[in-house]
Amino acid sequence: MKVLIIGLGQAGGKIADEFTLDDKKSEFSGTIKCITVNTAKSDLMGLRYISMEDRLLIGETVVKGHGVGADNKKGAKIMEDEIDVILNHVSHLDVSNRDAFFVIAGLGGGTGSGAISVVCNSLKQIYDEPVYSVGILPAENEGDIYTLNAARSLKSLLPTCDAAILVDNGAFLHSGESVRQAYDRINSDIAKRLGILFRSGEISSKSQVAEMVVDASEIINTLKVGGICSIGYASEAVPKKRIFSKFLGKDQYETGKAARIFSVVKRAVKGRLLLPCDSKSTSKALIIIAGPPDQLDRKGIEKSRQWLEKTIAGTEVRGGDYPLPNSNFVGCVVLLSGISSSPRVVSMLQRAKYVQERKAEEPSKEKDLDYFLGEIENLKK
Amino acid sequence: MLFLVGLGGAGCKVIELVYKKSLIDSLKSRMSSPKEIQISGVAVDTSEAINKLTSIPLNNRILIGKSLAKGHGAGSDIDFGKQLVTNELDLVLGILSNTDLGSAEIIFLIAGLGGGTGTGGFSVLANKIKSIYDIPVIGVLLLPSIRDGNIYSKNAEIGFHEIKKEADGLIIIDNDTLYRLGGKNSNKFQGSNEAIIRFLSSIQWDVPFKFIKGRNSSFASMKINAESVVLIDLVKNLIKNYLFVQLQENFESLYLVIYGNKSKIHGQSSAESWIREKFGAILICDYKPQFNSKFINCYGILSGIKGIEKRLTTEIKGKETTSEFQSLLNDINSI
Repeated sequence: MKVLIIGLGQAGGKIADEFTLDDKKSEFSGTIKCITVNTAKSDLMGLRYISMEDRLLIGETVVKGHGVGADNKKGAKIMEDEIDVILNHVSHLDVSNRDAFFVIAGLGGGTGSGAISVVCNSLKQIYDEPVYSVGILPAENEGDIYTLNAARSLKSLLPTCDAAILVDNGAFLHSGESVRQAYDRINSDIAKRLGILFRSGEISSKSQVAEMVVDASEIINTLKVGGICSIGYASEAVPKKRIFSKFLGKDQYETGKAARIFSVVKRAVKGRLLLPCDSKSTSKALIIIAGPPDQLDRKGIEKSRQWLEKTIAGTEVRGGDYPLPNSNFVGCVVLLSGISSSPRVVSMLQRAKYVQERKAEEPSKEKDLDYFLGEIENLKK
Repeated sequence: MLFLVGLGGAGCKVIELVYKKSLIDSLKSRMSSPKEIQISGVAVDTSEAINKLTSIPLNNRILIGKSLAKGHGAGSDIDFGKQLVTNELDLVLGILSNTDLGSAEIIFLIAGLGGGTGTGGFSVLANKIKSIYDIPVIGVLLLPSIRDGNIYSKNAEIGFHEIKKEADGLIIIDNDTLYRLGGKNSNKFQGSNEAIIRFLSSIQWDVPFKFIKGRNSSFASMKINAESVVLIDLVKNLIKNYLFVQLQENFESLYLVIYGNKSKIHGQSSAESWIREKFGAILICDYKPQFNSKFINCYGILSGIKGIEKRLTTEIKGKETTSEFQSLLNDINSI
């Protein structure tokens, strides 16, 4: 699946940067093309891998390259005014060869949060290719303003894109990690998981063809239900083969292959989702099992697919394998689409609703001043 | 001469094997079964994966739906697959007219049921070929295993009923029977694909065609490392262990092609009566001479198999879900 990724804001830009690196390292170079857009110059300059001409700075006249400061209304306004800059740039890239757009942004901040729905909306109006979004939710403890931003951004985003893949920034935090390390890890996690998804159906001269190819059409059909989607990934190292074991008479039949695949799949669905959610509320799923060809045990693959079919609410589980001859890992990417229940999203929306109501009740500062001035006048009398 | 058309991912892999046979392989098989029949084939697919099947000559590989599917296949969507094949039917027919299709006795249209291109496009392509050439079109269908998943089973069920109307007869290979051939995922289908090729190329089709016509059939192939055999044992073994479908009910006839010395094979009448009593079917034996008398090669065509529709019936129970977010989102102002 050849994709065009548009990273908006700081978080979006960093993830787009990871994708660029990921694409450069892989044998299918060119599968992923990234551009990034920001209102803050320093954020754009901090990126490492995206080429300079693909970094677009907008809103210079309004904020002078200093960002919008977590004001997503401003972010949306700037993007609406300068959407032509992005559309023009996109039209020069080979869009007809691309199978989908992925617009990535952090939903809690300013630029990305406000701009994501604007960009999705305009892309959808011009292009036939599906437009998907990847939204990063702020962690629960980051603060109310980010929670409210994210909820509002999500509300505007859902009707404008074909499917929204959500990522929880607070998911599986490691202990003793600095903020920067945590963000870097989550960003590279996102790039790694989606990267496998994008590349699994690509065909190069070197690669081996899968028994069941997960082509772009399979991914698009899975995401067709729309709504909120999540991605899970788990992997396990494969024990190394001893070269001489055959001659030393220690060549044994490997028994753990099927069990390994089943456990990896279960882990990906139950515990390693980027957006923790109830897998029972999913309407469609896609499962890709990657690894060295001799490790892809048929029974394991079939068993895990049957299990997933029973687990989700819907009936459609697409799937396939992705042989990686030189890999030492067996990995599994699961894409769940049309999620209707996620405690994390519900609690975020509830909190946002509460914050919004409190904000409405809160008397504005000007009113306070008027009140006190009135009091002083009264005293004077 | 036989002509094979592979449609969709599974069908194309079978065609690949036709051409993949190395020189040594073909010499070997010529030794064991003297009258190997000439085969040629064309592969048609909507996915770029077809480009990896490099054994097939470039002119015999047809990639369709480039503008709509961008070379990514139909994504297990029958209607989309049908649309893609319908749109470029003329292109496919144009390429077919440049091959030796016209001089074929039978055309075998090979497709996997369950996916998008093969399942959806079969009826369209079969119909068109039949309207142009006066050659019978037999469908060779690979049924998805029940373990493959509901979506593929459902596709197979829908596709089968359409395909049945268009084909002059069906040869069915059930992937559920592959378990006994078993092994790694990477050669999941190779066993059955090789068996299909060996089977199609080892039989003179003029007589068996009468039995297959308009019916659901399947086949079994078996090699016995013995010079002589009692026929009833061979037949029992063949039906029980080597048949490519799971027999649910009765069938109408068993056409046996045996490469071996006729005088060394005993008990034809008892085998005939066993089959009549057990299945209500007739047994036809066709003996062919074999140069190497150390083993016996045996191919069986079971036709008029009942209960295929029942095997394909899938009951899908999906649960309804209601979104938890919608009411909450309604309360939140958009940007």
